[in-house]
Amino acid sequence: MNTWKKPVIEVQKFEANEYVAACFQLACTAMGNDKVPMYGHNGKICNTHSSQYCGNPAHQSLSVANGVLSVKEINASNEVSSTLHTISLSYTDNDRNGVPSVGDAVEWANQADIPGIRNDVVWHHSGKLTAVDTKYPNRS
Amino acid sequence: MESTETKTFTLTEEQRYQVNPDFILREIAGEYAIIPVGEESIISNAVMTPNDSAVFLWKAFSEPRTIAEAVNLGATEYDAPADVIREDTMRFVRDTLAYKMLLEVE
Repeated sequence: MNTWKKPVIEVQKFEANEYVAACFQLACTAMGNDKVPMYGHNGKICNTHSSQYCGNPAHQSLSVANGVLSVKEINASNEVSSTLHTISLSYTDNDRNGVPSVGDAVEWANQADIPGIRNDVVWHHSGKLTAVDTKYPNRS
Repeated sequence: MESTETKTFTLTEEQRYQVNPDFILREIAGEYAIIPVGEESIISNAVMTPNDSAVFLWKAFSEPRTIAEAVNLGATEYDAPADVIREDTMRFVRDTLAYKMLLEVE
Protein backbone atom coordinates (compact mmCIF):
# COMPACT_ATOMS: atom_id res chain seq x y z
CA MET A 1 0.00 0.00 0.00
CA ASN A 2 1.21 3.47 -0.82
CA THR A 3 1.26 6.33 1.63
CA TRP A 4 -1.46 8.88 1.06
CA LYS A 5 -0.43 12.51 1.14
CA LYS A 6 -2.61 15.53 0.73
CA PRO A 7 -2.86 15.94 -3.07
CA VAL A 8 -0.96 19.01 -4.17
CA ILE A 9 -0.25 20.44 -7.61
CA GLU A 10 2.61 22.90 -7.66
CA VAL A 11 2.54 25.48 -10.43
CA GLN A 12 5.82 26.69 -11.90
CA LYS A 13 5.38 29.73 -14.05
CA PHE A 14 7.66 30.50 -16.95
CA GLU A 15 8.83 34.08 -16.79
CA ALA A 16 9.64 34.68 -20.43
CA ASN A 17 11.31 37.94 -21.28
CA GLU A 18 8.84 39.16 -23.83
CA TYR A 19 11.05 41.99 -24.98
CA VAL A 20 14.05 39.89 -25.90
CA ALA A 21 12.10 38.14 -28.60
CA ALA A 22 9.01 40.23 -29.18
CA CYS A 23 7.75 40.10 -32.72
CA PHE A 24 4.84 41.81 -34.44
CA GLN A 25 3.25 41.94 -37.82
CA LEU A 26 3.24 45.25 -39.57
CA ALA A 27 1.02 46.35 -42.44
CA CYS A 28 1.59 49.55 -44.34
CA THR A 29 -1.50 51.73 -44.36
CA ALA A 30 0.01 54.45 -46.51
CA MET A 31 -2.10 53.65 -49.53
CA GLY A 32 -3.79 56.84 -50.66
CA ASN A 33 -2.34 58.80 -47.76
CA ASP A 34 -0.83 61.96 -49.17
CA LYS A 35 0.96 62.71 -45.91
CA VAL A 36 3.28 59.78 -46.41
CA PRO A 37 5.93 60.68 -48.95
CA MET A 38 6.72 58.19 -51.61
CA TYR A 39 9.53 59.02 -53.92
CA GLY A 40 12.16 57.47 -56.05
CA HIS A 41 12.98 56.81 -59.64
CA ASN A 42 15.08 59.93 -59.80
CA GLY A 43 12.46 62.11 -58.26
CA LYS A 44 9.40 60.57 -59.82
CA ILE A 45 6.56 59.64 -57.54
CA CYS A 46 6.59 55.98 -56.79
CA ASN A 47 3.09 55.13 -55.69
CA THR A 48 3.34 51.42 -55.37
CA HIS A 49 2.02 50.78 -51.89
CA SER A 50 -0.32 47.88 -52.28
CA SER A 51 -2.47 45.73 -50.07
CA GLN A 52 -0.87 42.79 -51.83
CA TYR A 53 2.62 43.82 -50.83
CA CYS A 54 3.50 46.20 -48.02
CA GLY A 55 -0.18 46.42 -47.08
CA ASN A 56 -0.21 42.77 -46.18
CA PRO A 57 0.61 42.38 -42.46
CA ALA A 58 2.30 39.07 -43.17
CA HIS A 59 4.82 40.82 -45.42
CA GLN A 60 6.58 42.77 -42.68
CA SER A 61 7.53 41.74 -39.23
CA LEU A 62 9.04 43.97 -36.60
CA SER A 63 11.21 42.23 -34.07
CA VAL A 64 12.74 43.55 -30.90
CA ALA A 65 15.92 41.87 -29.75
CA ASN A 66 17.73 43.29 -26.77
CA GLY A 67 15.98 46.59 -27.31
CA VAL A 68 16.97 46.85 -30.97
CA LEU A 69 14.17 47.13 -33.50
CA SER A 70 14.37 45.69 -36.96
CA VAL A 71 11.93 45.11 -39.78
CA LYS A 72 12.05 41.99 -41.85
CA GLU A 73 10.64 42.41 -45.33
CA ILE A 74 8.87 39.54 -47.01
CA ASN A 75 8.64 39.73 -50.78
CA ALA A 76 5.68 38.85 -52.94
CA SER A 77 6.83 35.25 -53.05
CA ASN A 78 6.56 35.04 -49.26
CA GLU A 79 10.31 34.85 -48.91
CA VAL A 80 12.56 37.06 -46.88
CA SER A 81 13.52 39.76 -49.31
CA SER A 82 17.13 40.18 -50.25
CA THR A 83 16.38 43.19 -52.39
CA LEU A 84 14.45 45.38 -49.97
CA HIS A 85 16.46 46.98 -47.22
CA THR A 86 15.09 48.94 -44.31
CA ILE A 87 16.84 52.28 -44.18
CA SER A 88 14.90 54.03 -41.44
CA LEU A 89 12.62 52.92 -38.67
CA SER A 90 10.83 54.64 -35.82
CA TYR A 91 7.87 53.88 -33.65
CA THR A 92 5.49 55.90 -31.53
CA ASP A 93 4.79 54.42 -28.13
CA ASN A 94 1.03 55.00 -28.26
CA ASP A 95 0.26 53.10 -25.08
CA ARG A 96 3.28 54.61 -23.30
CA ASN A 97 4.41 51.28 -21.91
CA GLY A 98 8.01 51.91 -22.89
CA VAL A 99 8.29 49.12 -25.44
CA PRO A 100 6.88 48.37 -28.88
CA SER A 101 3.50 46.73 -28.48
CA VAL A 102 0.32 46.05 -30.41
CA GLY A 103 -1.23 49.29 -31.59
CA ASP A 104 1.96 51.33 -31.58
CA ALA A 105 2.52 53.33 -34.76
CA VAL A 106 5.56 52.61 -36.89
CA GLU A 107 7.10 54.56 -39.73
CA TRP A 108 9.75 52.93 -41.79
CA ALA A 109 11.35 53.26 -45.15
CA ASN A 110 12.89 50.70 -47.36
CA GLN A 111 14.92 50.83 -50.48
CA ALA A 112 14.98 48.51 -53.41
CA ASP A 113 18.34 47.17 -54.37
CA ILE A 114 18.12 45.25 -57.59
CA PRO A 115 21.37 45.87 -59.43
CA GLY A 116 20.81 47.25 -62.87
CA ILE A 117 17.09 47.48 -62.41
CA ARG A 118 16.07 49.48 -59.40
CA ASN A 119 18.29 50.87 -56.72
CA ASP A 120 17.10 54.41 -56.34
CA VAL A 121 13.60 53.86 -55.04
CA VAL A 122 12.66 54.63 -51.49
CA TRP A 123 9.28 53.75 -50.07
CA HIS A 124 8.16 55.47 -46.90
CA HIS A 125 5.65 53.39 -45.00
CA SER A 126 3.51 53.83 -41.96
CA GLY A 127 1.35 51.38 -40.07
CA LYS A 128 0.51 49.92 -36.70
CA LEU A 129 1.84 46.86 -34.98
CA THR A 130 -0.46 43.87 -34.82
CA ALA A 131 -0.07 40.56 -33.03
CA VAL A 132 1.33 37.62 -34.94
CA ASP A 133 -1.39 35.55 -33.29
CA THR A 134 -4.24 37.41 -31.61
CA LYS A 135 -4.82 34.52 -29.21
CA TYR A 136 -1.22 34.80 -28.07
CA PRO A 137 -0.33 38.52 -28.16
CA ASN A 138 3.26 37.87 -27.17
CA ARG A 139 3.94 35.04 -29.58
CA SER A 140 6.75 35.64 -32.02
CA MET B 1 -1.80 29.18 -9.18
CA GLU B 2 -2.59 32.36 -11.06
CA SER B 3 -4.64 35.00 -9.45
CA THR B 4 -8.04 34.73 -11.02
CA GLU B 5 -11.67 35.05 -10.14
CA THR B 6 -12.66 31.59 -9.07
CA LYS B 7 -16.11 30.10 -8.90
CA THR B 8 -17.24 28.14 -5.87
CA PHE B 9 -18.51 24.70 -6.79
CA THR B 10 -21.05 22.66 -4.91
CA LEU B 11 -20.03 19.05 -5.11
CA THR B 12 -22.72 16.38 -5.33
CA GLU B 13 -22.62 12.62 -4.97
CA GLU B 14 -24.09 11.96 -8.41
CA GLN B 15 -21.94 14.39 -10.37
CA ARG B 16 -19.19 12.89 -12.49
CA TYR B 17 -15.96 14.73 -13.12
CA GLN B 18 -13.31 14.30 -15.77
CA VAL B 19 -9.93 15.82 -16.54
CA ASN B 20 -10.09 18.70 -19.01
CA PRO B 21 -8.37 17.53 -22.22
CA ASP B 22 -6.72 20.96 -22.40
CA PHE B 23 -4.32 19.64 -19.76
CA ILE B 24 -2.08 16.64 -20.31
CA LEU B 25 -0.22 14.56 -17.76
CA ARG B 26 3.25 13.43 -18.76
CA GLU B 27 5.88 11.43 -16.94
CA ILE B 28 9.32 12.95 -17.47
CA ALA B 29 12.34 11.22 -15.99
CA GLY B 30 10.27 9.65 -13.26
CA GLU B 31 8.47 12.88 -12.35
CA TYR B 32 4.99 13.83 -13.42
CA ALA B 33 4.06 17.12 -15.00
CA ILE B 34 0.71 18.55 -16.02
CA ILE B 35 1.02 20.78 -19.04
CA PRO B 36 -1.66 23.20 -20.23
CA VAL B 37 -2.07 22.83 -23.97
CA GLY B 38 -5.43 24.45 -24.64
CA GLU B 39 -5.78 27.92 -26.06
CA GLU B 40 -8.48 28.81 -23.55
CA SER B 41 -6.57 27.64 -20.51
CA ILE B 42 -6.53 30.16 -17.68
CA ILE B 43 -3.16 28.76 -16.67
CA SER B 44 -0.54 29.34 -19.33
CA ASN B 45 3.22 29.58 -19.55
CA ALA B 46 3.41 27.12 -16.71
CA VAL B 47 4.11 23.53 -15.90
CA MET B 48 2.44 21.89 -12.92
CA THR B 49 4.02 19.21 -10.81
CA PRO B 50 1.52 17.04 -8.95
CA ASN B 51 2.55 14.93 -6.00
CA ASP B 52 1.83 11.20 -5.97
CA SER B 53 -1.69 11.49 -4.57
CA ALA B 54 -2.58 14.20 -7.07
CA VAL B 55 -1.28 12.04 -9.91
CA PHE B 56 -3.46 9.21 -8.64
CA LEU B 57 -6.56 11.42 -8.61
CA TRP B 58 -5.69 12.89 -11.98
CA LYS B 59 -5.51 9.40 -13.45
CA ALA B 60 -8.70 8.40 -11.63
CA PHE B 61 -10.53 11.30 -13.25
CA SER B 62 -9.06 10.61 -16.67
CA GLU B 63 -12.46 9.02 -17.22
CA PRO B 64 -15.78 10.27 -15.86
CA ARG B 65 -16.03 9.40 -12.19
CA THR B 66 -17.91 10.50 -9.12
CA ILE B 67 -16.02 11.53 -6.03
CA ALA B 68 -17.17 8.34 -4.29
CA GLU B 69 -15.74 6.20 -7.10
CA ALA B 70 -12.41 8.01 -6.91
CA VAL B 71 -12.35 7.64 -3.13
CA ASN B 72 -13.04 3.90 -3.42
CA LEU B 73 -10.16 3.55 -5.87
CA GLY B 74 -7.93 5.49 -3.50
CA ALA B 75 -8.90 3.32 -0.54
CA THR B 76 -7.73 0.20 -2.40
CA GLU B 77 -4.46 1.85 -3.42
CA TYR B 78 -3.48 3.81 -0.33
CA ASP B 79 -3.09 3.07 3.33
CA ALA B 80 -5.23 5.89 4.66
CA PRO B 81 -8.68 6.25 6.27
CA ALA B 82 -11.43 6.63 3.67
CA ASP B 83 -12.68 9.87 5.25
CA VAL B 84 -9.23 11.45 4.85
CA ILE B 85 -9.08 10.41 1.20
CA ARG B 86 -12.61 11.66 0.72
CA GLU B 87 -11.90 15.05 2.26
CA ASP B 88 -8.72 15.48 0.23
CA THR B 89 -10.44 14.32 -2.95
CA MET B 90 -13.24 16.83 -2.48
CA ARG B 91 -10.73 19.63 -1.99
CA PHE B 92 -8.79 18.46 -5.06
CA VAL B 93 -11.96 18.40 -7.16
CA ARG B 94 -13.05 21.80 -5.93
CA ASP B 95 -9.65 23.38 -6.62
CA THR B 96 -9.19 21.82 -10.04
CA LEU B 97 -12.74 22.73 -11.07
CA ALA B 98 -11.99 26.34 -10.18
CA TYR B 99 -9.10 26.35 -12.64
CA LYS B 100 -11.02 24.35 -15.23
CA MET B 101 -8.53 21.53 -14.98
CA LEU B 102 -11.42 19.24 -14.12
CA LEU B 103 -14.82 19.41 -15.78
CA GLU B 104 -18.27 18.40 -14.70
CA VAL B 105 -19.51 15.82 -17.18
CA GLU B 106 -22.70 13.82 -17.76
